[in-house]
Amino acid sequence: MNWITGSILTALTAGLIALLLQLTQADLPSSDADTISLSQGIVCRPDTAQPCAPVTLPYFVIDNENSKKATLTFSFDRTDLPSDLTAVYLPRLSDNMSLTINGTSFTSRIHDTAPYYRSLWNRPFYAIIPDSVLQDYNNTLNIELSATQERNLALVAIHIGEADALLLRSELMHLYRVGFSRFALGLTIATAISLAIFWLFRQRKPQFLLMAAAAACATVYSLQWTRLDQIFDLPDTTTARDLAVLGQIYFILRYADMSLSMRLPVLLRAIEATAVATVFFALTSQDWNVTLLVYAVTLLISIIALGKLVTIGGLWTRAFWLVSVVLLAVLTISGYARLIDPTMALYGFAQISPMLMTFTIIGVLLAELAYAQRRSDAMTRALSVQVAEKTAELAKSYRQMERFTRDRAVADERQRIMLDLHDGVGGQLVNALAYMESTQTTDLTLRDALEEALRDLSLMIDSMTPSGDVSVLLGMLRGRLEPLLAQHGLVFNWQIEDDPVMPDPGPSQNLRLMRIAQEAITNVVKHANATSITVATDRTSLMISDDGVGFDVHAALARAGQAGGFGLPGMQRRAKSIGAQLDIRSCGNGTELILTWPTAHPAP
Amino acid sequence: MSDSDISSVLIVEDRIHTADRLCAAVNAHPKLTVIGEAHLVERGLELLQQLRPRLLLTDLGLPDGSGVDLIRAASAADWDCDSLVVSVFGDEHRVISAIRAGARGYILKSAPSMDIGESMQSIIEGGSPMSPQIARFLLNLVGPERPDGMENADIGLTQREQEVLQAVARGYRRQEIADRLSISVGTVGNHVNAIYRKLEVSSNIEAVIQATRMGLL
Repeated sequence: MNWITGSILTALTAGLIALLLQLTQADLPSSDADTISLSQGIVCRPDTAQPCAPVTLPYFVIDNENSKKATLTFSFDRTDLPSDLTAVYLPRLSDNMSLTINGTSFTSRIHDTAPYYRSLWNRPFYAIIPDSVLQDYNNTLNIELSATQERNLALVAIHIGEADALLLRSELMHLYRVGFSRFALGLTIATAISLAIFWLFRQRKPQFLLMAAAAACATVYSLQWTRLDQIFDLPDTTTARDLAVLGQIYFILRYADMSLSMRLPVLLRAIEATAVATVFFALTSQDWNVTLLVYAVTLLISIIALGKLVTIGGLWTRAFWLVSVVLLAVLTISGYARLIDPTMALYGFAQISPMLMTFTIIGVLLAELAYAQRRSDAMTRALSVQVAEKTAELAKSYRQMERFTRDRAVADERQRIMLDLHDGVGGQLVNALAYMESTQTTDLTLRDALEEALRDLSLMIDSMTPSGDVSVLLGMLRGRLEPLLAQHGLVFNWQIEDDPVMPDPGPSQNLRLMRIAQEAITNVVKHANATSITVATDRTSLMISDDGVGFDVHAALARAGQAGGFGLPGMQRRAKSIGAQLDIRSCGNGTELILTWPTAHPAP
Repeated sequence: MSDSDISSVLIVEDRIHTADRLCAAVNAHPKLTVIGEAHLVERGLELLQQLRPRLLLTDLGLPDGSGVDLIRAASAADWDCDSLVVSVFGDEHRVISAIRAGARGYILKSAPSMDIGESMQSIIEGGSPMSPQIARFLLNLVGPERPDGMENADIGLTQREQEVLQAVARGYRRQEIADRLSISVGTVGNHVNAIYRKLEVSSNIEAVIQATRMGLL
């Protein structure tokens, strides 16, 4: 939906609402059997050359004469009225009048000076008619209307009848025309002041100031209907009202421009231009057409702005749009009634527009506050989630640190023990072997035992080193066994390609794996009568094979089992303890030993 | 054969039979001769100043201290004195600290007697042995991944040197490495020596080793 479609939608909706308002608010003919309405009479204009003429209410005169007067005469029969207390009720007239029935006056004389020259404007007139005044037939009711130059002569209706029923209608009319206006005045003043205070204390967010200004404009606009201008002798300035209307729409659009990013610079410039024109006309000449221009511009701009607004979407912008459209409809109908067809101005709608305006402003700000609150809540939630995550991370780090510290203590202790073994036991073993060599002791069993003990110690020390990759350990083992192989005329065929990864890497598992490898290799050296030993790895297996004479695996297992579990069964047990599987295949031209284990668990 | 071709050797080893065996093995080599023997660090330092040997062959775990002190003294000596470590196992922990102190290399105590003299001679001539563990340790110093996320220490190893280290760490012999990398055995030896030199001269090596050790543990 583009802004043109939106504007058409806005205009149609506002028109429809205006029509409905007009229908519901029209002053329906009294159906009350106890009252009569006088509508046929004679009007005379003593201040003009026009002759007296018949008239039908409502009566309106719109001209630009300096001082306007009109005398309207009606007649009625006592017999049409109820026998109870009788009253006369005039819902609306303009701007002042004197009323007589059968020559008896019911009003003070007309004052031509401020503030009394509009003493009956915007309020109903009600008076009890004493029974003594009335005749049975041909009672004469005479109304002399007066208005100043820029005002109209108007008399909407005359009702005569039962005093209580008319009093109620009169009071309702008074409440509607004056009471609402004063309520609206109080509301707009309170709103403007509250918003200004909000602006002062909420980091001077310009949104609040703009809305305060709009509310202040609504205050100025509502002032006219309150009749306070007559009490306090305030000047009756059309210009101030026109500017107030422009100001309301201007500040609201500025707000929309800022808060909703609607980009309305053209419309804003148009309003500013209209305001300048209004002031210009006011300084040069007072003219109704200025007000017409203001209404037209306001209407057009409101339609376009709301047309754009409805395209933005979002629940609360739609709500804002709907309220604004109602406001627009009221503005339309009151402007129309005032400027084009004054006969419609019986009730008038303009006095409720400041109230609607204020509700709109408050609604918009509440929606924005609610939105900000929701956003802040969401941020708080996100923040607490983050805090929880970071706390968990921190706890994890602490646990890790603890583990590192513990591991390190274990490793340090292990290192110390290993060094002791190294320097103590290792040194002793080497020394013993050196002694045997120097004294030419040829006890082979003793030498083998010492050498094997030395190899086993080497294996332990190698396995306990921190950087104990399996491939490195195999490399170390190779270095230690190389002299042994050389003695027996054997060579290694070294095929370490991938670093094997054990399922649960660590010194003890490494040591068991190395013991299996060492035993496998020394077995080949001792028994296989081979010329080369192949050692090959990939990530999940270790293969040790030879080109020797081979052996009967089943027989060896059976024999070893009887002999108490050394040799092959020992290797099997060790393989099982590190979660690996040991397969041995042997035939006449060699033996192949394959150790396989499952893939390592991924590091946590 | 002139006198100047024969290198004098000081042996510091606390276990008497081991010391005797080393002594015999060294003397068996035509270009080496033992001029002194000590069983304690203190006596070793005295003899070092007194005899001014061309070579120092020392154990590390001595009853009254560490052989590393002797190696430092030899490095600081005002004559040309190379140090070698005799190690039971040639394990990373001992050898690295010795090399940091200025040792040229290590020999295994359990090596066959006939090999000891030859090993020493080849170390002097620039052919230090390197165990898989030491290679792995050095790789960890420069390797791309560190389990603890700590900064890698850069001791400036070349790509080829890292390849050599990788092969040594997996247990390959020099000849095998030469075959695998299509280079000569001598070149492999040169790479190994270059790596040792870089380790020795690297000025922040103390911190490096400290950091690595913490990371590894």
